[in-house]
Amino acid sequence: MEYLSRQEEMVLLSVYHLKSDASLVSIRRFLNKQTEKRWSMSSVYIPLDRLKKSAHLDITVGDPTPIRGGRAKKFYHLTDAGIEALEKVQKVHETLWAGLDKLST
Amino acid sequence: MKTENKKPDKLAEYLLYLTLPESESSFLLGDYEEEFNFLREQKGVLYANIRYWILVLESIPGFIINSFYLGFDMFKNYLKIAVRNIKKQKSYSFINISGLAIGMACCILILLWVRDELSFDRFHKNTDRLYRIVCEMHLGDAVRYTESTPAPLGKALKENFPEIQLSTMYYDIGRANVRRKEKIFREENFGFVERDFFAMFSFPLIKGSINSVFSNPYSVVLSESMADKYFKGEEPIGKTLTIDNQYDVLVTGVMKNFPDNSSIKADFLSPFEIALTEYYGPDMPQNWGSHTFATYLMLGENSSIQDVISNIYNYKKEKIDPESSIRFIIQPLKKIHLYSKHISDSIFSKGDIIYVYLFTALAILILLIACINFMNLITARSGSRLREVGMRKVVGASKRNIVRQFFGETLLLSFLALIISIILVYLILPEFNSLSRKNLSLFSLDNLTVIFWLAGIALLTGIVSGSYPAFFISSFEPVKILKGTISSASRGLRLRTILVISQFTLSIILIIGAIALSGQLDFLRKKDLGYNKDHVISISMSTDAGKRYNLFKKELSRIPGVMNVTGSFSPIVIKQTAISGLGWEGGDPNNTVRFWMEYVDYDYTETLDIKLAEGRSFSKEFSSDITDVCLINEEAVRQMGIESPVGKNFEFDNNILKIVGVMKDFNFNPLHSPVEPIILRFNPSRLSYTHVKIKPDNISAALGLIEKSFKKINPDDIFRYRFVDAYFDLLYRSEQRIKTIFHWSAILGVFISCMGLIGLASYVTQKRTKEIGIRKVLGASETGLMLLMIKEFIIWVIIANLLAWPTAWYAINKLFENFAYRIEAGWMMFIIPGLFALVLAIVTVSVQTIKAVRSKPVDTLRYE
Repeated sequence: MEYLSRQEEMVLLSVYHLKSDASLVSIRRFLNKQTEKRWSMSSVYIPLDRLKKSAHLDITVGDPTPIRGGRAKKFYHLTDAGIEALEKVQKVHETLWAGLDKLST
Repeated sequence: MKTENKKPDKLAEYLLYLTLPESESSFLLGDYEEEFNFLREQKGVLYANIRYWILVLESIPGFIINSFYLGFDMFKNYLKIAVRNIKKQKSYSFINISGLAIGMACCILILLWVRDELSFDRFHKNTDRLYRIVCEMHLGDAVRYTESTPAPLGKALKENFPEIQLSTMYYDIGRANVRRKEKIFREENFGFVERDFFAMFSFPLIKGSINSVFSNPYSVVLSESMADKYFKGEEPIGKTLTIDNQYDVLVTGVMKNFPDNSSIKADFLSPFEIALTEYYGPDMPQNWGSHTFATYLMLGENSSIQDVISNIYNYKKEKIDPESSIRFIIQPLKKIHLYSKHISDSIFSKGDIIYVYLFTALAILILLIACINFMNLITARSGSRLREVGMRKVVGASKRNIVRQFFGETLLLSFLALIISIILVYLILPEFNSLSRKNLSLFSLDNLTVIFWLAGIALLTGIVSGSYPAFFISSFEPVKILKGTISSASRGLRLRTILVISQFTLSIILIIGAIALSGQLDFLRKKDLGYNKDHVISISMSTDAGKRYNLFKKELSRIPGVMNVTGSFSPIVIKQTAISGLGWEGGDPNNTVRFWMEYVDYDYTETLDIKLAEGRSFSKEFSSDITDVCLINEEAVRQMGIESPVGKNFEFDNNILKIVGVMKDFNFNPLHSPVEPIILRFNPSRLSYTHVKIKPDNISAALGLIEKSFKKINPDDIFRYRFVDAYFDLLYRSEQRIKTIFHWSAILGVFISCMGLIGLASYVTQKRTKEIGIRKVLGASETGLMLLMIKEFIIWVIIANLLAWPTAWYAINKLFENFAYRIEAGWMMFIIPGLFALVLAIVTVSVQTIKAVRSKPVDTLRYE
């Protein structure tokens, strides 16, 4: 069975949280804030690209805007396959992480 | 600003563009630009551009690696072509790569040094909370700084300021004899510290526990290497060592060796009580007037140093003595190594932050020059790739593909250069370490960081050097190439020329500097000092041995190889004490003459062959010599302003000192200073050195006998001696080090300059191949053509010389300011490097042009 990589998982979850405003720029800012670490543009983009190729994500293209120098913007959405993959990971997480709060005491 | 949309830096955008896959580039560039504008709104264009560059640069490696997955086959083709090209132009590739490798190696070495300097004292767990006290002393108009503080200070500060959690004093006695049974050695790095020392600093214990090591006041903690030295194979804990034959200490612990990058160095740590009982009086702990020990403080966890700075500064004035002109400054531990140049005395070696800046700049400069040479050479040889580029474009390669290909080639060369430079660094490191007195190693700390930095250097070099050639080559138009009517651009020629000339100028300056320093050091070594230091050894004596000096002297005079024996308080080549404010008969009571003081035995002037101008030396014939007589030198007489000084008296400190003779001037101090006044007082009870002049025919035999005598009279002491002329050379250690640096820099500079010249010459030659062809057709001889081509370069070298000479002249004068005795900067010092540079340039250029000059006009003019 293929698991999502850590980064793919985090990126996919960000897309879920950002709903209709999931673009490269917004996902990156979201992750920067949530993980308190600096994500480079490529370290966000490359997982996005892979997820698109493996059909976990879908793309819609927005209008060109002057802020982007007249270029269009890509928005990412979860596909059914994507949602399924996330649910699979969540289940594994729950099993493996169960009872962890007892570890530190 | 919001209405008009600014664009991010074009270069950064283009670099990014190159690494992006074709289909995505528009969207991604838009994303980056969106971030740029967001940042621009926050903090302005400049800030946004800097952040944009960072965004680009940190993404590039990721995209490049990603593209390998995508376009592996194309990549293989590029690789094949790149390797083939390197093989085709073997000598050029070799020169190019090695030039870059040498530049990288220098850069890496310097950066290793810088990293070490910056890393001092950071390894303690509490580094950020540790400080030491520096005393600021106001003496009249002058301000002096010292790390010696009053003994009561640490405790007083701890009691009065809740922010200060712990404190300790630190005392290093310098040198002592350590004995264990029959093993006896002279050791340094003794520290006497208070109990809190181990809690403050992270010097972990291998044996023994922090709480118990100092429970006995006469105990010692050894470093690993000392434990090994004195107790190999045995258990050191519980055994004793004898210090200076004065007292015994019990070994209660063993600690790990102090790291090299610690400004505190100790091999032996003992409780501070010993310092008080053995070396200073019991009233020391209350004595505010005497500054003897260093004081270190540790702040509490949540305290801020700002709260206590001003209170500590004025502490003595406010709490102890309102008249006091002493202030206390707090210096963070991290800053001690690099920011203590202004502090006059320090038991530990100091660095200087200025050198850190200087050498970092130098490293960057060297790498930059190496990159530029690399760039030049590639561009110069690019003519042979024209047809390939033309074909590729015809078959459908976009300009971007071509650019990527050549960038790739440059990166390949760059990484090859990196590998070679790593090997070079590995080979040179031992020599570099001895020069810099450090213990640097390429892979000492986390390997990942090192690899990251090295790869970063190679990447940066590759990108910087590859950009110009890549753009240059990719801009060729296929039609023109295949038709054969390409005209190389001549822009950048001026820039390149200036670059090569400056490289030569720098090299010439370095060569002149090296020659000058060699000459100066030679001169110093051979200069007549007014006394004879040949075949004289100085034996250092402890207080005990000093008491038996007369016995020792008698024994020595029986040895056949010994010509003369005398003794003194200071070493022969350097003096330590000077006084002023003396009075003498017929002198001005307000004089400011400064006299050096030296205490000697009989036979001082005879042993060292010091000539007398008037009067006599000390002699047993005069019983009055037992008390209060002295010799002075001619310079003293001059400054005192008296005539016939023999028989006159000095008056000071309730003493009367009679002058019995005047010595001819001799250099008793290093040659940085001219001869100053000196008083040689007869006082055989204050001697620390025995000087023995040995017959030159069998020195080693004589030395053996001398050592035997010493051991016979001082069985518990160590026999330590030095040859006076060896000691003399030691004084100029730092100048010798600078000379070595100049030597190597000169060699490096010459090499880099030649590289630059090769690039330039081959470029120019290539440009003029057609011109050569035409001239040949019109009847020019090969020799004539060579002269024509070389002429320009000769002019440039001469310009470089003319620029170099005044700069070198100024630099040499500045360098030799410290010396009272110096050589004259002669003509040869300038002419020889100049001629050398000229010959070198001619040879280098000839090799380039000879091929072009010999080629048949038929070939060069073919496409016209």
